[in-house]
Amino acid sequence: VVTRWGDPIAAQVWKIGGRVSLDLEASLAGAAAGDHEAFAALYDGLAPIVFGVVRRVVKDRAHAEEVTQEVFVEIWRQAARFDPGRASVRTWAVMIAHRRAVDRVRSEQAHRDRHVRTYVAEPAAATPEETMVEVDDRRRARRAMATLPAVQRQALELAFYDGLTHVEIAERLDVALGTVKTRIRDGLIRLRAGTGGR
Amino acid sequence: MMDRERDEELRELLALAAVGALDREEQVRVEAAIADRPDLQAELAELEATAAAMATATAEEPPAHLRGDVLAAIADVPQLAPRHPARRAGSPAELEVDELAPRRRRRWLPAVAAAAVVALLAGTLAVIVVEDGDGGIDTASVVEDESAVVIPLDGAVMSLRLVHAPDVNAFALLGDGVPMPTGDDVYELWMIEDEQPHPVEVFRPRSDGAVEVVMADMAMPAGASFAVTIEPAGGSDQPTGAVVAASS
Repeated sequence: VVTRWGDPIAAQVWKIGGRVSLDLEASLAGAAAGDHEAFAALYDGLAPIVFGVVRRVVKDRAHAEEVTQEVFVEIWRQAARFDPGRASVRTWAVMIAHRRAVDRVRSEQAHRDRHVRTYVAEPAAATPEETMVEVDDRRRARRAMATLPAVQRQALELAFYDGLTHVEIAERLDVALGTVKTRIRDGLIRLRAGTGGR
Repeated sequence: MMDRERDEELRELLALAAVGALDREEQVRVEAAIADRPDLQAELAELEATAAAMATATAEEPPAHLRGDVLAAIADVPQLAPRHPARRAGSPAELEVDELAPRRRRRWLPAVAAAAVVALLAGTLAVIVVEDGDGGIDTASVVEDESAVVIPLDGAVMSLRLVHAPDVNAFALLGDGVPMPTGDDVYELWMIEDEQPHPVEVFRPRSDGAVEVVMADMAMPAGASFAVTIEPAGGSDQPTGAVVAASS
């Protein structure tokens, strides 16, 4: 069953889940005008995707919470700088979150041997608070990832989920830099086709 | 031909930029390279939207307490003005103070910050604030110091010289014919260390295009590099605008 945002039933579903119906752009516009309530609504709409990507990159849960908080403070500060002509609110927030998470990982690793890092897949079952729509989005995104050729998926995951630079990925995989570039580019383009570019 | 090759090279870098696989310096260089290329900017935006889908795949409910923490954390965090001030709501008087208040980057020079505020509020906005209160250090004592080393910061439209005098633990940033940034924008000098940009100084050229800024009590870490970006009034904590000059 797919419900639509404007639909009263959907609004009910959100309320039952302890959330309010969302319009991310409207919430962001409110936040940009200094409205704390609008910002709270924005938080509700973005928290799972922001926390998820930060956690995936920094791994450690306590650090992920810290970075997530920094990300939302940054979103608050930059709210008036959001350019709807360039990106969706979601993409904009994810880019801020990813950059912060990667910064954290890289600054830590500058002082630490990074070879010990291993990737542990997170079991991410839906929580009761999540809506059908979110679960659906996530499933679709995972399916799109799963359909990528393995070498492309691996390169994309090392970059986006593990925060490695292309140079580090080339070292890790023992392949040429150009190969890494091609795999990431081809993988992204293929993923774009699979996710409808959203 | 050359252009096409360069475009192809840039396009490859865009994908890397979208997934964050460039180091910070490469990232800002790519952003600068596409600053006047709406087509490549649009391509980057699309690739970023796709990368964001990878984030959707990892969505995870944060702990409940985080919401309260975040809302408490923003309570007294000032917000940045929009890039186009006209779009911003609020009374002009509030705006002005907010946007003009220069945020000094170097914690160790609070007195100079006060001087800068006074100068800016006095209406000398178009004139760079040159401090002479930096512990008695002036441009000459940096430039003429025997230990002084020049670090050129080059870009398409400007060349600056960053002079480092380790013996007096100071820097001077010098330039001529530096274009005035549009509106209330400022230039911001960054020191890049371990791929992390650290804000150093916010400045504007004098009306004659000259830049002369002295930075005292500032050491240079091994391997550090420098870049200058255009930033909104007051500067930024992280580079957000185009790189206009950088050390090689």
